[in-house]
Amino acid sequence: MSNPGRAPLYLLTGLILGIVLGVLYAWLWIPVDAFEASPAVLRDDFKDAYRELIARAYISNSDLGRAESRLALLGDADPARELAVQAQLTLGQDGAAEAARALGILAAHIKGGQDSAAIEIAYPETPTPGNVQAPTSTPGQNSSNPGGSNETTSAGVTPTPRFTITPQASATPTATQGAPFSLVDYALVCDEDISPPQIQVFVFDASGNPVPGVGIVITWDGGVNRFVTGLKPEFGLGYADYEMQPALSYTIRLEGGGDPVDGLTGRECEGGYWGTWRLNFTQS
Amino acid sequence: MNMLRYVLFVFAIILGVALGVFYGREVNPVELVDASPDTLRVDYQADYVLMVAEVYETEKDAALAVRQLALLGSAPPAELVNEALAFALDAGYQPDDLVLMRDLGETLSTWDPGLEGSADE
Repeated sequence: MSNPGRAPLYLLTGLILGIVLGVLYAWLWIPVDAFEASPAVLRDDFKDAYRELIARAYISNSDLGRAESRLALLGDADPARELAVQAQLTLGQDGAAEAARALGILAAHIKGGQDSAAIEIAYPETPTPGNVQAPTSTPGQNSSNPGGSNETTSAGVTPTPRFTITPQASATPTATQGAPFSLVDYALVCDEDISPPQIQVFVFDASGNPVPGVGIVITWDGGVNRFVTGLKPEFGLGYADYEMQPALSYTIRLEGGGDPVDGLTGRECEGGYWGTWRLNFTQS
Repeated sequence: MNMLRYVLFVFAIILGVALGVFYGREVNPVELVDASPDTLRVDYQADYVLMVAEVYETEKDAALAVRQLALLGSAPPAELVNEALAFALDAGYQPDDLVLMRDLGETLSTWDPGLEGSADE
């Protein structure tokens, strides 16, 4: 019956049966260490909770290296961006302002540390509020960097570039408690690539350092919202923006105190597109 | 002859089981996805507790700490902290970190959620 030239069929059958049993055992009888997960395999909502805890702990200990090590465990491709996105999403939740602030600050500091740079501001002459007019030129270059785009003021003159990237130690600027912020200057930026138009806010402390985590309340007829500096660290730690509808008139107020700024409405540039308002606040 | 066939058959099964286990554990092992924090390895859990302790040091919010620790399991919060502290001692955590964890553990060992409201006031 058996063919001496072929492997006996029963051996092959036994081998296949054994492999099936072995794989089932390996997959179904999971060893204990398989339950020892790393943060990288947490469910997304648990990852968010973990990330928030890292940010809150960073606010407590100011240890950026430790925070970055912990974030690395989550396996995010761009931890700063994940933090910023989560901060933005957290803002919409009740009672989560502290968490959003912590996430935003950590995002900003990670970004600042990676680039070893912070934005310094050199103020030109302070314009008189109320005399900003439609611009007479439309430069519109380098739209990806709000700080790098050209501006026009009431005089129709292109001012000296206002922001320069200067390498410096990654200090952690924080606003002086209680001191109000005041509007230093503002301008209409004509940049065709910024669409829809925005209200861009830069906040600095008394020493001229950008301040992340400052809440800005924006109101308009029938609505109110809030945004926070530092959530887009690529534009500076003290930067925040809000997309505006040209037909509406907005009022903004910094939560650190100071007078509200009203009458921010759509202003058309020469090319027939809407300009973006840029406001610089500094702490008294 | 029949006895030899049985022996070889059993041997083939054993060999197959070994190959199957090797494949299932080494070549294509089960991977955890969408895990919950209570499945974190003990050193990650200890660091998680340390983070909670760091936050508590600043915010002094025991209720928040309890909510954060609840993700690590249903055991009493103080017990979770003490387990993490025991690991931290063995692992040689920095003294400052140990103090933070100890302080949190002591706070939570006497923490009463019923008194939280009055304590805050």
